[in-house]
Order: sequence, then C-alpha cells, then structure tokens
Amino acid sequence: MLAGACSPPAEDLATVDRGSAVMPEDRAVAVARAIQAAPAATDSILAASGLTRAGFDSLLYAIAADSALARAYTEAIR
Amino acid sequence: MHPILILAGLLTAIPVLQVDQSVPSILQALRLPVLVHEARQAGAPDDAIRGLLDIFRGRGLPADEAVLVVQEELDAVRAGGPKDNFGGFVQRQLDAGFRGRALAEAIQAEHRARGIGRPAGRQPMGREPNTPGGRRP
Repeated sequence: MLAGACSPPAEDLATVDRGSAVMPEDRAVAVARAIQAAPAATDSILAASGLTRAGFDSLLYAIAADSALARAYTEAIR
Repeated sequence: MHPILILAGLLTAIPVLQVDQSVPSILQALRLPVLVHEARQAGAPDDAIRGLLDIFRGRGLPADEAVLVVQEELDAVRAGGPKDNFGGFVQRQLDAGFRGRALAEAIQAEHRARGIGRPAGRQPMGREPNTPGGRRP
C-alpha cells in the first residue's frame, strides 16, 4: 500500500496502488485493444488514457517484466 | 450534375484522416509482453528475461525495437539454442551501436555464427515469406 499524499505518475507501475479499480495490465489491455481496432487513432487513444507514447512503452515493459501480468495481458489481447 | 463535380464534392466532404506515422511501431510494441510471456513458456529463465528488459530500459530502447530483439531470442530458444543464454549477446550488440532492425539482425548473425537458431534464409517462427509483413495469410 502506498503512503504519502502525492499521486504517483500514471505510468509508474511500481507505485500503482494495487487496491485501485484499474489494474495496470487491465489499463494496458484496454489501450492495446483500442489501438489494435483503430491504429490510426493511436495518439488520441493514448491521450484519452492519460498516457504518452513513452509512458505506454514503460507500462508495456513493466507488464512484460512481471510473469503474472504478462500472462494476463497475453490471454486478454489474443 | 457532372460526375467529376460529384466526386469532388464527396472528397471535400470526407474528413482528412491524420495518419499516425507511428502506426506500425505501436502495433509492434503491443507484442512485447506477449513475446516475453512466450519466452518464459519456452523455458527462458525469468531472471535472464528481466535482465534483458532492464538493459533495454536502461538504453532507452523503445518497446517496438525491444520486440525485434526478443523475437530473435525467442526464435533461437525454440530452435534449440541454450535457454540460459537468453539475451546473452544483446549487450555487446548494443555497445556496438546497433539499434532497431539492425540490432535484431546483428543478434541473429551472432546466433548463426554460434550455430544457434534457424539456418540462414529461413523465416522466424510465425512469419511466412512472400506475405505482407511476413504474416501468415
């Protein structure tokens, strides 16, 4: 659980409160599905999700590094 | 009404779609967690995988470029290469300045030189030659 008054950066997986409604892999899956459905709208999709391209890359890296998250992401977007 | 005028009217009425120049790379990037998951399934050690991802992040390698390298490493493991050497050649190639597709090809060449992975000319698993993007039809 996180302590402190400051909200973590949206893309910082390490500080995401696991008790929040949206899990990082769910967020990545939602964004990934939207991008797969409309690749030409990638910039808009990322912006609507509060992500920069670099931030989304960081999220993908963080999910890949965690075996459980990577499995969940893989099963969700296939 | 003249057909050309009708066509011109239709064309001006259609909103101009802003094509995102990063479309191909973003679709590639989405595959990173999938390929890493497949690497674990293929037997690559988790610490080697995490070490490789740390190297990529430390070098600022975007996810779509990391995908190219992970694909090569995964192909090598699936072709019988040593699992515990997953990502073993990447650091040296990065130090040599390789990035993107050139990095993946340099790693592929390293594998081949060491007798690891697929023979020259064969496509990576899951990709077929003579198809757009190398995808299966």
